[in-house]
Amino acid sequence: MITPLFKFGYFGDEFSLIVAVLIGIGFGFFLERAGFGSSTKLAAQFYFYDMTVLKVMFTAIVTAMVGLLYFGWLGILDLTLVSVNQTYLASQIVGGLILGIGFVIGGYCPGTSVVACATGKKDAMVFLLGVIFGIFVFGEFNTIFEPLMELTAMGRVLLPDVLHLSYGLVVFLVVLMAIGAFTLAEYVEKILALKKDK
Amino acid sequence: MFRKISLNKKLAAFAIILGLVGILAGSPNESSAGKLDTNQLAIDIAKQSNIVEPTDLAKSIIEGNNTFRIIDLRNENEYATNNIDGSENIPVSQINKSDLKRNEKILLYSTSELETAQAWMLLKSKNYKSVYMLKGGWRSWQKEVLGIAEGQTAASGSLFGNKATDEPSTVSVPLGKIKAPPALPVKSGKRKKEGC
Repeated sequence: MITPLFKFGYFGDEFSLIVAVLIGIGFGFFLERAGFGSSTKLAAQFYFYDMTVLKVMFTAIVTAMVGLLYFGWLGILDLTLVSVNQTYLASQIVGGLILGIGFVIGGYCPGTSVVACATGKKDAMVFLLGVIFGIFVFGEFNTIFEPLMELTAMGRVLLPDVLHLSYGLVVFLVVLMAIGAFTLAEYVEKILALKKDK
Repeated sequence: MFRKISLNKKLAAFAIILGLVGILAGSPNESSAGKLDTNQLAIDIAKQSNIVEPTDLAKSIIEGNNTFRIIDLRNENEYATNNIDGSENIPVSQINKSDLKRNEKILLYSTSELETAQAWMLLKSKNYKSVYMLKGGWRSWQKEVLGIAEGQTAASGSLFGNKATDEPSTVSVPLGKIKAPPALPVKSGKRKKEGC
């Protein structure tokens, strides 16, 4: 658990596991309801005729970002305690590409493969075996990977600090970016749907 | 008119409005709305539960179970001359820009106890949960732990006088090289408000 609630000790280790399970079930449920338990739906993203993945992910980013901004501003949530994954630029680009290639080939990302397993999809089960195998290999060769990873370690990097812009302005720009992406996505979907009909 | 606008467009407009207000809202890290429990502060002060004895701190450092993040509030020169082993230098003028976390166990010290107390109040007013002060500050540390009378400077190689010179110690005290271990992570499950 990485919520500030836990860090301030409002509840203990055991209860935090229960909270984690509840959040996990909620996450899985909404992934499945959004249609992300189907590899055909997910693969459609890469052919641009169904941009649901982009829309859902960007919506999640914008919702969380705006929520964090206002909760922090109101003093309900302490942003400095929200865990931010450290940035390892080169390693994360390589890792992202590997994940992306796996996504295109397998039709799932790690989270959605678990969701699809829960609804009994056989391809997802094979995919999940691959995920577990990958984790195993990475763990075994961690002594080799870790120094490589550390080469481009940058620590906690936030856009407002890098761009020297205020927090609110970055939020606004990302919102504009999201709306631009949604508009473009809808436009592309419409064009491809027309082509399909012909 | 309003009904004709699609839900997507309404949501987009709502997001833009939230974003626009966000620009004016200011930094979420500098929340001014944080609640300060002044009654709790008064209890802490009266009970002196926010004060740490130099000898207790020295003992915990020697035994390797120091849980404090020790912050030296003096200026860089003073810090470079001598400091408590394992401490970090954050001059009091920089304390607002520091990377201190609100859930950390922080121990402040300086030459001036008045300065320490004001820094303590400043951090408490910004909702830092557990901030402590070293009783008597740097002077007491010198006197009670290092055994140095006022005005004298510490000899290099003394137990906790972490003198920042590279020359080898002439006094052969093996403990002189002991480095304080990094502060242990705070056990979050057991944090209780003190004084209640």
